[in-house]
Amino acid sequence: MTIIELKNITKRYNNTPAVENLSFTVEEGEIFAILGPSGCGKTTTLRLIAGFDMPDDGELVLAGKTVADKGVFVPAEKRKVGMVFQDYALFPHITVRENIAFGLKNLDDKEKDAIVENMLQFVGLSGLEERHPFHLSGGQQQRVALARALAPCPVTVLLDEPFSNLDADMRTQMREEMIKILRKSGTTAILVTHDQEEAFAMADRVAVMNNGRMEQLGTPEEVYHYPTTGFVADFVGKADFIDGTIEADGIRTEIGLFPNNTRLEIGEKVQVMIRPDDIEIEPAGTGCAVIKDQQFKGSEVLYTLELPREKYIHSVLPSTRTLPAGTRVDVKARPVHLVAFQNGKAVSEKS
Amino acid sequence: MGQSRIFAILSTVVVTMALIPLAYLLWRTAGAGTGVVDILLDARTFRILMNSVLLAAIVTALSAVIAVPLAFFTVRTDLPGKRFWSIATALPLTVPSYVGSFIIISAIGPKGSIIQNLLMPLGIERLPSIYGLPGAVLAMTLFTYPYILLTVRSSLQNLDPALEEASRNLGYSQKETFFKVTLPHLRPSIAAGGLLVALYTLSDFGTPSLMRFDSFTRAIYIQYQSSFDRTAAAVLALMLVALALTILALEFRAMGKASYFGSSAATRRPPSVIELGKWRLPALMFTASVVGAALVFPMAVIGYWLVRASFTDEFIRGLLQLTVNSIYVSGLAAAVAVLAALPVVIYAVRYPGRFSTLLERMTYLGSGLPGIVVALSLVFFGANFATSLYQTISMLIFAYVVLFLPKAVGTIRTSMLQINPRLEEAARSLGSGSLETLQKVTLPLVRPGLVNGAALVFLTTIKELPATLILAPIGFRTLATRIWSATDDALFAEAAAMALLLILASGIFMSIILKQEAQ
Ligand SMILES: Nc1ncnc2c1ncn2[C@@H]1O[C@H](COP(=O)(O)OP(=O)(O)OP(=O)(O)O)[C@@H](O)[C@H]1O
Ligand SMILES: [Mg+2]
Repeated sequence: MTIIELKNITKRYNNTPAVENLSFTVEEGEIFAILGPSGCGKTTTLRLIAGFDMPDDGELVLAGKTVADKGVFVPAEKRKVGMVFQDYALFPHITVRENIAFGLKNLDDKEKDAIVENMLQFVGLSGLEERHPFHLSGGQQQRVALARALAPCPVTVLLDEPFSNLDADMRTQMREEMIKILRKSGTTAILVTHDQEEAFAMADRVAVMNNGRMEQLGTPEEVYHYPTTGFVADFVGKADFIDGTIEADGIRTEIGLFPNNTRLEIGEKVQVMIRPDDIEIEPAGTGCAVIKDQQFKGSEVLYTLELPREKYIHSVLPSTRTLPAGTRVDVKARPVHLVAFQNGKAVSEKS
Repeated sequence: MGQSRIFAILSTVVVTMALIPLAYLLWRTAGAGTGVVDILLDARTFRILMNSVLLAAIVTALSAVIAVPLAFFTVRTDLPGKRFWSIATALPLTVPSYVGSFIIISAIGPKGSIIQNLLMPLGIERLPSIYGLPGAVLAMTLFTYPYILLTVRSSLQNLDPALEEASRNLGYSQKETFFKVTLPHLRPSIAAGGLLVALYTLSDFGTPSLMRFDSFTRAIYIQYQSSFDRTAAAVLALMLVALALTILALEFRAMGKASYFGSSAATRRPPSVIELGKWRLPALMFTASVVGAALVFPMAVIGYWLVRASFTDEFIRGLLQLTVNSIYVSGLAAAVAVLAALPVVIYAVRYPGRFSTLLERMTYLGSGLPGIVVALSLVFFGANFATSLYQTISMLIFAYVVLFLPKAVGTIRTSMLQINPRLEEAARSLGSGSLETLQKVTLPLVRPGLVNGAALVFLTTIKELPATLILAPIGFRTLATRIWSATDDALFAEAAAMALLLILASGIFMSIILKQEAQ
């Protein structure tokens, strides 16, 4: 069943669109990520769904009911949409227990207590219920925020950069825990983030946004391996683009010939996307590239390679062997899937 | 090392001097022996205590009732003319309490007032008295409610809109959200503002004395003037100090809580605007009537007296002299207070430690000392130990600095805390000596704080009444003391002229401070 449906939603602030013509659907139980750079309209999208802002155009359907359209606007408190705010927005004047119970209306105290007890156990906070939010660590606050949002059984939960206030260690741990909690409760969720790793690790599908518009929508694998635009290719992982020409036997580039999976005519120019993990290098006196720089990253080494026509590309290799800068090397590209672009749009066919 | 010692010594000197009045009062009372107990147990003492507490409680409650809706209207709603109202509702704070009392007495007082003049043709010679509790409550409430207004307003502005959104999101309407989230959030700031009003009401001398209401400050003054045994005055003064310091302690707790509630690191959206709808007219009428009573009415009363009056040249020359006197002592007090505050702040902020923090905290004691108490103590002290300073401008300035040092320390501290200590370290690493760093980096950066602090002390001093009344050299009068005595003598037209000058001077300085804060 479709839980959330956006149809051509537009929201403008002072006549500049923050979100433009946005359409997507989220299915029941799905974890959906919105990924994009700062200012691309992620928070705006969530606020429109939650009902804090009114769209200027378009229609919004929640669990089969139109909540925003021309002449229709269901206020936030009637939407049953849970939200985990970026800085959690826990009520400082009441305890953890009261925070979690806050959204439980029309229930007697016994029922409330039972639900709160349940939620506390669910998110692993038992024993902290009488504390006030400011006596909790960042990770604990976040769990309270999640419990508070989940307690009234919302139709969906919206998470706005929920991990951005946590340090790196905590972030990975909370990410795993949150996934577990969301999956276990079968919650439909939208996660907003500007960290592609986070989106990939958590979501069933990812929508990549740029400048208020959706650039691409797909599974993490699709978005990573088959980016449809140059922006997506670049944003979801490190990518180099090298010039190529369509020839009879394939796409000719400086680092070799690639199979032609486009429908372009011979002689047309394209840019071929190469990810650093697609590039292998081998020291060779006759090699076409020179190592300009190498960065040791622990388990891997990132090499910057200079090609004859002064173009740089990157390669990531296991750090079991490191090559010093200045080494001349042979470059072999083995892309899992080759994607060629023309004018910033993918022209390759999916295999 | 050397620098920290210099600041330690300077701060200790400042704080010790600031503690003289309180210490002397304690010492003096302790030396009075069993007489103290008699005074404490006296029925009259009890009545004075009850009077003071009652006045403070009523004024605080009424102020909250006026100020909380005003704060809400002017910050969060679509009240028409919001910007204008938000300034206009805060302005009554510039009206000193004795001016407020003058306005009420000269407008609706029993004899010689505007209303009585108007009713004269009907043969009415005397109106019912407004003296006593009703007059005191009226005068205090109308001009002190802005304390609550300002604290509540800043707390409303600091309220993270996400909190209200979270509540909406969890199923509560706008109205329910107001009572479940917004109001609890405001509670500490209402408490903080309310305690300020209570403290101000208890310490104020002008209103009770003009309204002839026997609260502590009036009783102390009468005791001081009428008898040679000053023990009674000293005991009453100490009781008042105990009460005031208790409120001050509560105030600090409330303030701490208020700032805790407001803290949130993340970037914020502006708070949402609430549409008043059918409440627009009532809200507008409420706001307008408060501004009418606390701002327009005083102006109209002053205008009335000025239009009717004809002043002699001699009076106008005298007026000029009074204004010069007021500005002269206030300017001196501002300069000395800032100079005294600076080492305390630098020591506390740059060399944090138990001793420096203790010294800084001690300066705040001054804000719990009513002017009449400090003045009284310094009179005793001067008469016994510092006869050469007794009845000099220096003694007066000293009293001002004791009273208003906390304001200077508070303002300078805020601006000092905003300076990244890394900047000073950078200067040191670039070869500046410690004093050179102070002069080239710290002082220029803290300058807005110094200017603000000085302006604030100036503003408070120019309105100060009891210390000026008691400690000024014989024949040295200021606008404040003359307004007070003219009102008491029912010379309303003269009081009006001086009140206007005083309000103008305060208003100009207030707008300078507000402008600085806006930047
Ligand atoms: N209340 C507002 N008034 C005016 N402009 C706004 C408002 N809210 C958002 N915008 C603008 O809309 C655009 C999208 O903002 P939004 O907060 O949705 O971005 P975001 O993707 O969440 O960014 P970030 O990752 O930095 O949180 C931005 O250009 C922002 O400046
Ligand atoms: Mg955002």
